[in-house]
Amino acid sequence: MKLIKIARRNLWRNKRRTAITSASILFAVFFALIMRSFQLGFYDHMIKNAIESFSGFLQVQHIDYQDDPSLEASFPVNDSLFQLLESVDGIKTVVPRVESFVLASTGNQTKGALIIGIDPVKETELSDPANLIVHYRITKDVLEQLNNEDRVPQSIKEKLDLIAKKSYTNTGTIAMDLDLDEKKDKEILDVIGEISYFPGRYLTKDDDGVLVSDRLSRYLNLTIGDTLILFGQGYHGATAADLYPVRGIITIANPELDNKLIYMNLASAQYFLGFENRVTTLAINLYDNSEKNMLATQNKLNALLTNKTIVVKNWEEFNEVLAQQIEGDSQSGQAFMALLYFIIFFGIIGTVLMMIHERKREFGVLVSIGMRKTRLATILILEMIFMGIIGVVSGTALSLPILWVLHNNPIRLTGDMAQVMEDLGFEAVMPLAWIDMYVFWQGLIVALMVVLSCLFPLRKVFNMKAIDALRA
Amino acid sequence: MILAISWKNIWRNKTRSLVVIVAVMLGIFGGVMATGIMQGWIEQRVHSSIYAEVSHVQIHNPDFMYNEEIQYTINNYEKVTGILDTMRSVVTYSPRVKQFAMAKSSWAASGFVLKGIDPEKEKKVSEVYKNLIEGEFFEGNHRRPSIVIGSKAAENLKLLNYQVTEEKIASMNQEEYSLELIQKIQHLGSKRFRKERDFKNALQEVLTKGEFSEYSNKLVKYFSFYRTGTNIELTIQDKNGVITHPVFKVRGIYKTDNSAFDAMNAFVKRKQLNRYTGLNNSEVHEIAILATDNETGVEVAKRLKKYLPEQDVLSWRRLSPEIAMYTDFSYVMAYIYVGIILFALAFGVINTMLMSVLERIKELGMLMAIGMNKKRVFNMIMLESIFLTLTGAVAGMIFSGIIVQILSRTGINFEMWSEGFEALGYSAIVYPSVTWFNYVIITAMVVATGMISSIWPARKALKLNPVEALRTE
Repeated sequence: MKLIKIARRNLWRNKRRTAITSASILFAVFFALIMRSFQLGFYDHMIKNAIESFSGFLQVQHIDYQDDPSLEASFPVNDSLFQLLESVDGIKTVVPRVESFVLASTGNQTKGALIIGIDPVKETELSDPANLIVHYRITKDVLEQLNNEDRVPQSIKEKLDLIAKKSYTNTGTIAMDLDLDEKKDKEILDVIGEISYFPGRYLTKDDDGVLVSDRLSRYLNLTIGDTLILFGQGYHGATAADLYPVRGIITIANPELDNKLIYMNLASAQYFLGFENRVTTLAINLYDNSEKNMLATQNKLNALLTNKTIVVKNWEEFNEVLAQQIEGDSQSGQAFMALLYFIIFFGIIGTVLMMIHERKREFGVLVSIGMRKTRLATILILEMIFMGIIGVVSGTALSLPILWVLHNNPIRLTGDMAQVMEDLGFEAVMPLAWIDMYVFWQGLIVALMVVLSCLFPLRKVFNMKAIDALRA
Repeated sequence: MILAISWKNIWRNKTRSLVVIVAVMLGIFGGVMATGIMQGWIEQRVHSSIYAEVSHVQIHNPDFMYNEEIQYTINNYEKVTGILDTMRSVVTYSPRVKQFAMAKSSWAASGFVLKGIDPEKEKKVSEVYKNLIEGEFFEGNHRRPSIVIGSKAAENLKLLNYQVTEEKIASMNQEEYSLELIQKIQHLGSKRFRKERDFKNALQEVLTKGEFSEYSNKLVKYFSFYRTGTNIELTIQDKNGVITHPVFKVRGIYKTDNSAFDAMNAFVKRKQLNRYTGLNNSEVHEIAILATDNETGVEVAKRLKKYLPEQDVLSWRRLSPEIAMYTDFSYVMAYIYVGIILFALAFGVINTMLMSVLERIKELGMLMAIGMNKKRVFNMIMLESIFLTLTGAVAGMIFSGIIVQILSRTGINFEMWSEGFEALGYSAIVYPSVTWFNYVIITAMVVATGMISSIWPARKALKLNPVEALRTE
């Protein structure tokens, strides 16, 4: 106890030194936290976009499906399989899907397309295509009408180029693109919404129609009620061809998918492909998305499955590309942080060295009046730990408000940056991760660094000769 | 005079100065390496993107850009080429027919964009022919038309096979693989595997568990090969919307840094493709142009637009905004990194300088008492601080310069994330690149850091009253 008191007083005795050392630690912690939470937040965002709201965290597949995603690598499903899967704790939803490549045509335009057969009701729990239905479309005609409309002020007419040729699911996004306030400019938005209104609806339970992605629908020149011809190869190489009415247009952030996606009812897809009760994947989402829980659930499910031709895979296995991108970026970020910490580490060693040099005489006096060197060293270590704590705590405290604000109000990118993000298939926002274990790890690393930085300088104390020290 | 004094002052307390110098050295080393890797990466990305994918300028029929429909060919092709032939800064150009096609091999189906090209012209514009990993790029005359596809498309069509051949066994590195292991693999004979998983299963049977987990991935890569000489059936639409199914022979497979490009682009001779599309020799969808360099390319696009108002003329900056953004921001990002590192270093420098001033109160008082004016004292301390940082920075720059030089020849291999990087168009092997200009800027930033972090200690020194300072112990 006494040692702690002495250490604290020593710190207060030279406030400037304490301040500089703590400030350098504060800076490192502050910067590392902000940077790391940007990274982690971004990964969460990517996973949310690509995994949670599209492929699911886990998928049940035929063992050959990953290497060879064809209709032959499929498996039959029945109620007992669903019951088995849903009986496992922590499983939020199990969604059946049939995926296959076909040619989509309107007669004179033909294009390769990916059909996904879905259960319209269950699918709302995962990718929720109902939310992607286009309700407003800014075509050439719409632009012309808007330009001739008296209720739209001139200042907004000049900005209309920003939304030309785009499709929207709600007026909120139009407001964002035009830099309008959803509440204040409600009247103008209502006018734009009224003129650009585009009909279309989600699939009903037994619908025999299809939903077509925005870019594909433009290519094929399709609109609601038009008939789409699909033809390709069904199960066991049978020829598949049929006509489908278009019920709705959906817009997808990822341009690659937006160029080729067609949703239809699971039953229609199975009938079209001669697939009976088979599916290509069962997508699974979990309540707890942590890596640990995901792997545990995956193992549990794999043990439960009696049919050895099917297997449960996690997203890091079936979307290796995304997993590697995250891993690569995360590693480079950590390398930079390690460099930063290394520099701070040298800063701390410098401080300790100076402190010992400066107080040589004081130490000499203490040792010659009988203080043991171990106690002296303990005091010094305590001082360093205090400074470390001050730095870590204040650095964390300083970053918390920023993390809080940016976590709840993510930065929305604009211009080229936004374009790049959208081209990669992600919404153009940069959310921050909220407090998690990583904050604790940062603190631990700094604490370890502080202790390590004491080691070399402390040897000086142990090798010190009281008489020489007194003369310094 | 002051210079010499300052320099000597630094070395009065060697340990203390060395701690700061080493910290600065490491910081600058890290900063230069990060800068080099980032710039190298972006330079490679920009180069491969321009010289394999988009070129400097592309001309299209404005309607073609919207849906890439086959009937929207460039109007007045002869007029366009006439202008291009005489225009200054245009190095060369290549006309292309572009048409989406479904492709079917005996084992799988996939879709890609067919580019009908004139091989000799295309070779001058795009470096794809330099990236061939198998086969040839439209050499010789064959009865069956040739197609050159990307490695990713070949994988999709199941043309990537695995086979333990005698030659490959013979050339296996004996240092890397033990003789025993090689003998075990020989048991697999010359059976051909079409799926990675089947080959892995076969390996699993002959190898022990330990050997399998250590070598399987390496072996899979080593024994993989792309099959050329197979026929693939294409499904394309001709000018009138009629669907045809021509058969092409795969005679070449290329691999760029961008796996998405490799999956989506296949090349055939324009003349041969036109037999099925029904287009004539002066109907093309795209003209790709190469200018003398990247920036001239943008300017060429502007000039062309004036001559060809009815065409859609786009420079690489518009065709690939992502690349344009990276070229603009890469330097800024690099300096932000160095800036953050220097900011962290500044704490150490301030601390050291403050100590060294406080330690020398008596001495400074003496110098002032014998007539050294305040300006000189200030300069002396500032110079000490600059020397301190600059010594470390120069050491760090020399050190990192050497390493960057070596790595720019050998490259750094990020193979473990290659798929992820290549999906974004970045090579898995980076050749770091640092320019002289980088060093100049970094040096300026270091000097500025030295100056700024000397302000507080120097002010401390200026506030000294010589009489009082002399009295301190």
